[in-house]
Amino acid sequence: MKLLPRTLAGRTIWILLLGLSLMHLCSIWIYEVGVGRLIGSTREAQLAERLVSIARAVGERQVADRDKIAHALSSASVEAHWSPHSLVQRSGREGDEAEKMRARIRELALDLVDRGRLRLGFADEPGVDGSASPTSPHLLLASIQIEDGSWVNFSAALVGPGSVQDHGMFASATAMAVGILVVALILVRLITAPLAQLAQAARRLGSNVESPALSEDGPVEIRDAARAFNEMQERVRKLVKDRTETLAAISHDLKTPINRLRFRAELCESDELRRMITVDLDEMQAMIDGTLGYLREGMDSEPERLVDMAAILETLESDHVDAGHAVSLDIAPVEPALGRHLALKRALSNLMDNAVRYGRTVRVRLDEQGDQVRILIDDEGPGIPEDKLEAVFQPFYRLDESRGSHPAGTGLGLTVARTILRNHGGDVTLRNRDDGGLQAIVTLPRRHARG
Amino acid sequence: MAVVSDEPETTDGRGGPIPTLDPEAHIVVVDDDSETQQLVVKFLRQNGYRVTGAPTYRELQETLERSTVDLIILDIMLPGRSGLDICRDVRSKSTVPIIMVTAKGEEADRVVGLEIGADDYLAKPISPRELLARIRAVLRRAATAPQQALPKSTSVVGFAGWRLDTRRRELTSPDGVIIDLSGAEFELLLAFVEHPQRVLSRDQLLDLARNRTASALDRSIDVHVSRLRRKMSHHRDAGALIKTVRGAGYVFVPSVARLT
Repeated sequence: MKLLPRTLAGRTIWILLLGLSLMHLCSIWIYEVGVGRLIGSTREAQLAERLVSIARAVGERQVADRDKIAHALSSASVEAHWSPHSLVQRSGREGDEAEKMRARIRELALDLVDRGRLRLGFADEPGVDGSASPTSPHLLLASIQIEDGSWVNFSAALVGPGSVQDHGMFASATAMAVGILVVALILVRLITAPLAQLAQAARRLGSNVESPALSEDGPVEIRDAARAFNEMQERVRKLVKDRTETLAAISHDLKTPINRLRFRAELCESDELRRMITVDLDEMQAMIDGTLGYLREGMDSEPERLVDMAAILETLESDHVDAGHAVSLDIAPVEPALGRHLALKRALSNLMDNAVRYGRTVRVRLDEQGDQVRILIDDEGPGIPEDKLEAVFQPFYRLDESRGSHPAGTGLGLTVARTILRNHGGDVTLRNRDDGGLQAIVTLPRRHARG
Repeated sequence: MAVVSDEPETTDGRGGPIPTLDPEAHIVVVDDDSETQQLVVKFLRQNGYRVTGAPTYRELQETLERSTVDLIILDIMLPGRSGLDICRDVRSKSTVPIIMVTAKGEEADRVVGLEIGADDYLAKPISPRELLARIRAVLRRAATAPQQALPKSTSVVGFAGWRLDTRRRELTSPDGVIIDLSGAEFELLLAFVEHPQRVLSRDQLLDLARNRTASALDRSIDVHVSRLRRKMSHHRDAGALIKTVRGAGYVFVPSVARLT
């Protein structure tokens, strides 16, 4: 299978080429055999006729003239001599060719053959041009006994059927093959292009269920595949939507009982109990808000505008500083980025909350790299095991070991942050700094084409 | 259990006393969830208000006809008629303050709610203390507002090329860049914008800003002013928008125009 090219187009062309060559060879072979037979038999018949007519003509003459007339009747293909003896020994070397010739001559002069007055034999002799053709190495030797018992001896060049050559036919077949190949190449490209699109669409679907449907054109099979794919995408979309709506509905409906609990807590006699209930409720609410935010991301209608990233970071820093957290900010002048203001703020807020929660002292830097805004959020926390640096971006993923002692997050903060940033054409990654602590690296293209 | 009012006795810009907490204020709670309604009613009664529960719009109307109402707390997700319609109806007949409550909590809802005349907006689940603070702020504003607030129709104001959308709480630079503001910064800027080219003392600013926000400004006015200045300073035409007047306070320099 290694011989097969890897692409469908390559394989199709390869198979086509193989088939064409095979057909070409077969047709040449059939043609040659057929034409060779035809020419061979025609030539045999002519030769037999000539042999018989020369023998008869020689027999009519006086003895003195016989050799002369034999010579006169000779031609390039047939040489005739008269002699009192046969020059052909009886031999067992009468093959197919001789049999055929005998049969031909018999048709013309029955008496010659039946009365043993025909002797046939073969002689090896180089061709006239000295380059013995391998297909016709033989000279046909024939002796025909005439009336008075003397012999007319012939030697005729036997021309094999293989010598039939037609370059014109070969060229036309080759031209046809090339033509078919070129047309096939174009057709195969036309057919495989939708397949490539299909693959691309499948890949797009993996990252975005809302990606546009495939155009359903091309050959029937491709159209069918595209339609099937679109139907599948529709089902996936519906499934995701149903699940999302269910989760959103549950999260949403939880708000009413939580709301009641908040007021019930106010009825508590014990301040301590009320405080604890309120903390629990805050946590539940944070989870619900996080879930709803995650589900809604990309679905809200916030327009894209130029956003001052520095102002967002300054607000977040102020909030943290006011809450008593050690957060510092280092801002280089950057151009505004195009994006959804509240979504970007949510993303950065999640990242900073995370850093503050686990990392005590937090340092935030904003600068530009080429066309991108870059935000580095460094904390002084324990970091994350190297093999978990990506896993923490999965929804509801929690690191249970070292970070377990901290107040629970929603398990969605990083997921939401990454989703938002990726929807903006940017990204966020985590790395453990060499000097300890975790670093979140946010990149955001200043301007990007949506979708 | 009583909620402690930690509000100092304050004065408005004209020096008169502001009724910080009116225990006799009559509040109507409109919520179709009877349990929630009862709990809210109970909680507000505990805090010294006169409270009537109204599960439907009809009952709200009856209450409005029967007695004087100082504030309506309106659940936006009422069955039958949308809370937004009710809000619009009530607003067309009277100026009674309305606090809208919704489970949705989306920005668009808030904006729509404020656009059709709600005085404040809360997303469920509500923190009871937050509700109390908002009630107090709205009542206080209702007592002092008519003279000082921008007309309800105004939502976007402009100054020196900048735009401030008071409903969406958005500040846009002369270059069209959205500048993120914290709640305190927005309230402070709004106070400036409503009183341009006037020297405002720190106390006045604190008071004006706090009239709108429930959460106390936990930093001094100076800190918020400097934060606001820092944010605006990254942009064009930001020079000396807010001037310090030594020993007196601050003055908002540019003139303010109502854009819508």
